[in-house]
Amino acid sequence: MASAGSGDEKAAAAAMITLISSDNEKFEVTEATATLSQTIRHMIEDGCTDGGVPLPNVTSKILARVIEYCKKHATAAAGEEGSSSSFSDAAFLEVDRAFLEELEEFDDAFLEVDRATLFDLILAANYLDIKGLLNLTCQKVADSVKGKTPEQIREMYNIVNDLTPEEEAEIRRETQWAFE
Amino acid sequence: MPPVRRARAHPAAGPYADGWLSRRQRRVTDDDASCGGGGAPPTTALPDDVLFGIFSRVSGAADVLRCAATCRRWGRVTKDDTGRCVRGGPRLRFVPTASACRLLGGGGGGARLLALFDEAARPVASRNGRVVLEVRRASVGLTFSVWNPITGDVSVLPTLSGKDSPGDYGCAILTGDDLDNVSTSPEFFRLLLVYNRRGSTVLRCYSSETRRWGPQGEMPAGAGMSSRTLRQLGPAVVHRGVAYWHTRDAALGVRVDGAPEAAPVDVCSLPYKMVPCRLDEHVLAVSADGTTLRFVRVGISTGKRCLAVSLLTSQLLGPDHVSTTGGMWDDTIDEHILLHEIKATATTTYKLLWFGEKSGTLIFAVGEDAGSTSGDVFAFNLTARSLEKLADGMSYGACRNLCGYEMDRAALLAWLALR
Repeated sequence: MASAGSGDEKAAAAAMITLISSDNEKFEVTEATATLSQTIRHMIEDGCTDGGVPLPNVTSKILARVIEYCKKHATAAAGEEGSSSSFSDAAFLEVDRAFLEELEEFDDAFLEVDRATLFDLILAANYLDIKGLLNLTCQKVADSVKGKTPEQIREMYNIVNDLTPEEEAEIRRETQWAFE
Repeated sequence: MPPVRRARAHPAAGPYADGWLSRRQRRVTDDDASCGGGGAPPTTALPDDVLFGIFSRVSGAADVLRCAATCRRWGRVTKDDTGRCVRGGPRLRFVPTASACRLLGGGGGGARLLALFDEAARPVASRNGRVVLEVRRASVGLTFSVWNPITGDVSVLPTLSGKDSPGDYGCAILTGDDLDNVSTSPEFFRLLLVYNRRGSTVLRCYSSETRRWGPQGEMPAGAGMSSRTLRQLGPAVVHRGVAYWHTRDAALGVRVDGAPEAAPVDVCSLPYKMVPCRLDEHVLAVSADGTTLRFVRVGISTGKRCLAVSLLTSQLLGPDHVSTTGGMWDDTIDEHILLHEIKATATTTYKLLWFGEKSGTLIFAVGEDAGSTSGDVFAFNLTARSLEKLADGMSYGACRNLCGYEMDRAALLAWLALR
């Protein structure tokens, strides 16, 4: 994400940002890591990060996971940035592929969490505007409903069925093919 | 990572007393504390747009419908938002053209045309019975869905977000009919994108079999395009498995391979012999027999004070014309048709919007004078020489949301039966 020139990159690498979770725990991260969050990026641009960034909606448990994700992906972004000039180079492509595979493995492992944590991660990604993380976590939920009946989905996500039996019958009649 | 502990005042002592995000947050739910509800995940805590983001990533329309049947809120979110791209197909407005109506009166076969309008999901390409819709959501990224309005089938493609999300782009859809050596399964398609990324122009292809975007491939040196050009890029035509876009001084051709994991291959540029031309004055076309690339140009006949449509044929170097050297275009005008119904002066503005290869229908907008930001939208059928007005005073911005859709007789009847 360090899209600035090389001089600025050095400065960015040195700059540290303090993030403060809702339970008042402090996390110090590099600017390159923090700016994966568009919200924090805007804060930095506005010069509002002195003295730390309070995140009253994110607990320390979730923030630690979010930072873990950002660190990994900030490295990936920086690596890609540095070598984009040799995109067509076959050797580079090989390295790139290996790294992308590693990143995918990281993402898969990262998603091995219970549903409550997954939802907290979605909320944090949305709140901090971290597109990659939001995409990853939302896709996980989207994949989880595949082939499930409405009853199974309600059970998975503790959804209270507030539809009347008539409404439910109506929905099923309208879209019967989806329930066969 | 171990948290760094530092002696510091309460965070509320910062510049924003009630937490700095409060002013940015789109929606604060009252259910944040509902995590304790029996240990189950608090789905109610998810804002509507996040929930929408999840539904838009659910791969099958049937899965979304089953989600919609779980409770009122989920039903509402799928209906309000994904309704246009998942549940029962997009809410697009079809405007049947006169030639489509005539078709019902026992006219000949072949494809006829409907125009599509929509405000929310933008139709960006249409070909062989498919429509490609773009949904751009700031918090999620760029999502394409490929819709068959006749069968109602919708494929929602994986969202291109973050650094994968193109800014301005050109888009082409190829179906089984366009490519050799592929299954002619009705579900088959390839979506080809051309866009700029970090100063270079790249190509990316989605495959319906793998349900994935392939790798990005860089355009050969010299074939790059400015973002401005990309923004104005019209619809692509497909000829022998090659998608062609019309740029200012050349037709850019990209051959798409039938193999599922293949990147777009073989890029060619066919330079025009004529002087560089404005992008919205020309569209590429394929001749009715599908053998030659053609060129449709609209201009003003100042002598006759009306709009004129010209057809030009390309001079291409045989069947293997797709090479990096390409062929040259000849600007021999095959036909020159005066549209006396459309009065025009030297300051009249016009934009070509779409050309249907099978029906030979051209959709274009004509504005009053040089300062016009809106125009009347017309459809002109080159075969029947029939002109009709589709819309009055449509803004040029809204014209971007207009796309033609060709359907054959059977499809048209099926569509009418569904209404």
